Amino acid sequence: MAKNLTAKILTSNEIEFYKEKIASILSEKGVMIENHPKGLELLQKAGAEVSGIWVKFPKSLIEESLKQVPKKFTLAAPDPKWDMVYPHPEGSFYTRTCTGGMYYLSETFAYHHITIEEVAEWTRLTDAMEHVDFWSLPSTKPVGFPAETIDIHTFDAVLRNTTKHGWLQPYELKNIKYLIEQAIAVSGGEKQLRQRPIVSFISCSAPPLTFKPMDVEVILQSALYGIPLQPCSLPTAGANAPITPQGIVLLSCAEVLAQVIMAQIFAPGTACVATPLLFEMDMKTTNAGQSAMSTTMGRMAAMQLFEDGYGIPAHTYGTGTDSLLVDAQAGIEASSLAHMVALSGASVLGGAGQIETAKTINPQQLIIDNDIFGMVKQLVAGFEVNEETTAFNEIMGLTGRESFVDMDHTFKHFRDGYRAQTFTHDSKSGWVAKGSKDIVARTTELYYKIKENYKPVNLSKDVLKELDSILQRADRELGR
Amino acid sequence: MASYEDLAQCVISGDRDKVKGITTTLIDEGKDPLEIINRGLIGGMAVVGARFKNDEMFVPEVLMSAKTMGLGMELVKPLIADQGMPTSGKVLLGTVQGDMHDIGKNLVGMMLESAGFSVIDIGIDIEPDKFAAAIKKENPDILAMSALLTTTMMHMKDTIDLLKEQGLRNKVKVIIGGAPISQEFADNIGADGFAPDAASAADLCKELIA
Repeated sequence: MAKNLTAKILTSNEIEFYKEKIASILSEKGVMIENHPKGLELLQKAGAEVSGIWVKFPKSLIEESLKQVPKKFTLAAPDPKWDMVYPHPEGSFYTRTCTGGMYYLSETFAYHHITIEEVAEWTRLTDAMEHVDFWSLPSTKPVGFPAETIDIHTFDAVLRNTTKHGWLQPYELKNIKYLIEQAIAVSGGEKQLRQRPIVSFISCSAPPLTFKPMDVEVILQSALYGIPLQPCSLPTAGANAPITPQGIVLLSCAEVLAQVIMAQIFAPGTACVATPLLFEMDMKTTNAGQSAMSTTMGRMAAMQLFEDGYGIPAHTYGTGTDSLLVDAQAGIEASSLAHMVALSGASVLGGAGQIETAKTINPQQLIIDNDIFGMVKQLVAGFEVNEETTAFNEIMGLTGRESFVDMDHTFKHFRDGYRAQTFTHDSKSGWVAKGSKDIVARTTELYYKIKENYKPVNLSKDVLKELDSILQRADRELGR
Repeated sequence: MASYEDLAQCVISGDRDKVKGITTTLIDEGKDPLEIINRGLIGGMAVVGARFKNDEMFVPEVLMSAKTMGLGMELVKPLIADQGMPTSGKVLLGTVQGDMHDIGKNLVGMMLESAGFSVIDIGIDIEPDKFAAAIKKENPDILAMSALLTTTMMHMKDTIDLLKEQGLRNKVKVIIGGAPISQEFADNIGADGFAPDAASAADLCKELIA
């Protein structure tokens, strides 16, 4: 078996087909950019054809822009041990938590809108997860602060509890500058943030082929401040995108590439992680789901297209479920997706801790997903075949029916494999003796143990004072 | 020679090529236009509705059947202008202030039309006073509001409060929907109903104006 295992869904001809069709969509059909005169002006100056809200990117401009996309960059973290170097130095992948979830399914299964206190708790748990590399913002219920500053308050709660990089989504155009100020406060200055960006921004299309003013502004501000961008497209097959996985990949990747191109036009060299997140409408309930196998296939194609076709790191859901509970469906859907997306070559697997199609977050699911990522990392790494790994010499040296358990070779290699903490490894009698607990009950106990050992994040008094000041000003200036 | 059953079958199978021909034949044969509608076109949609509930048909098929029914309706409508077209009711539809999301809203509109409702879609980012003005103008049976964001859902309450202030609340049933919306929220803000998805919105509307 080779190192860095892969499972590619597209042929090289199919990658070229997609690249050609995307170039045609962006150069001949174009995209719509609503109510952002500055953005339109900059695009037109760079050679885009602007007619009203329609923007076409000539193929030469596409090619020139894509040459500017950095091939190597680092998404930094407040604690450098969580820095993420792209491409992953070992050919593996990074992972992140759910973004935009609205509900919290607590460890006791109480279900409600996420409170700011739960954001802090969620962040501490995320920080403690070995295989979750960065966070993203949940959508918090505004209690005790204006609804207009939800994202700013949520970001504040995260910053006070994290040592990891974050993926940040503004909710209002006016809020972007406050979010950047918060990141600057923790980084120690604008220059420091540019050198070590502790956040990357989410911009997002409004499929099909439309961009709202806030998202163009996010791309612009990211470019201006040197903050990396993870541009998204979240179409729903059968609703605002073609029903076929092949079709939703074409539309979604065209929208993501348009944002990458815009970022390079606004500031050449802006680091980008292409992020097509795909859904499919259930044709009975009309709910958007994330777990159809066709959607997994689409994600695999989209990852391969960006990673292999454009040489741009790619990011999509790698866990998550349409199940409303932490149950067998959740486990099956999350692990199936994680395996296939990781094998497709994605740089980032997102969605840790999310259930109910990313609408709900749950601590037990986050801990289970941490285990899934650990297992899949081992798989993707593959292994080497040689005399040492096959224990050839040990086998040749057998004199009778020796046990392997006390051999040096076993001692050296038994930790090579990932041992899931949330899974049972007991015999039936051992399992019964421990209370006959299922994975959820075991994970609940594990969660309480993890909570007891959280390491506090120590921001300086000056930084905390500055964060307080930004928060108060945002509430005053943005609250209605 | 054509039958109401042929026309109903045409609607059930979403056969847009044949529906005009069969409808025209029935009209030319002197059949009662209301019978053509009730036994043929709406008769076909009634079967579609039942099959949909039974998981035998799915949304794209329902919408195709509705389109097919619409093509037949276009031919029959001019013949029954004086008698009035049968309708399940009138629904005013919009996404609330500050919210640009429209997939769910559009789907609700399509499913309502498929169920025989007359739908007036006033779009996205609709402020409470615009909803109120539209209610005064259109006089709908039901106001259906959509929101995808926790930041915008409270504008549903603002709208209901404004309708109360303007004496419009008792003239219209109010239903709400969208990803962050729950029955509990609907109860708290004084809505008449909540539909978790587009397909059940039509059933909810029928229940509310029965």
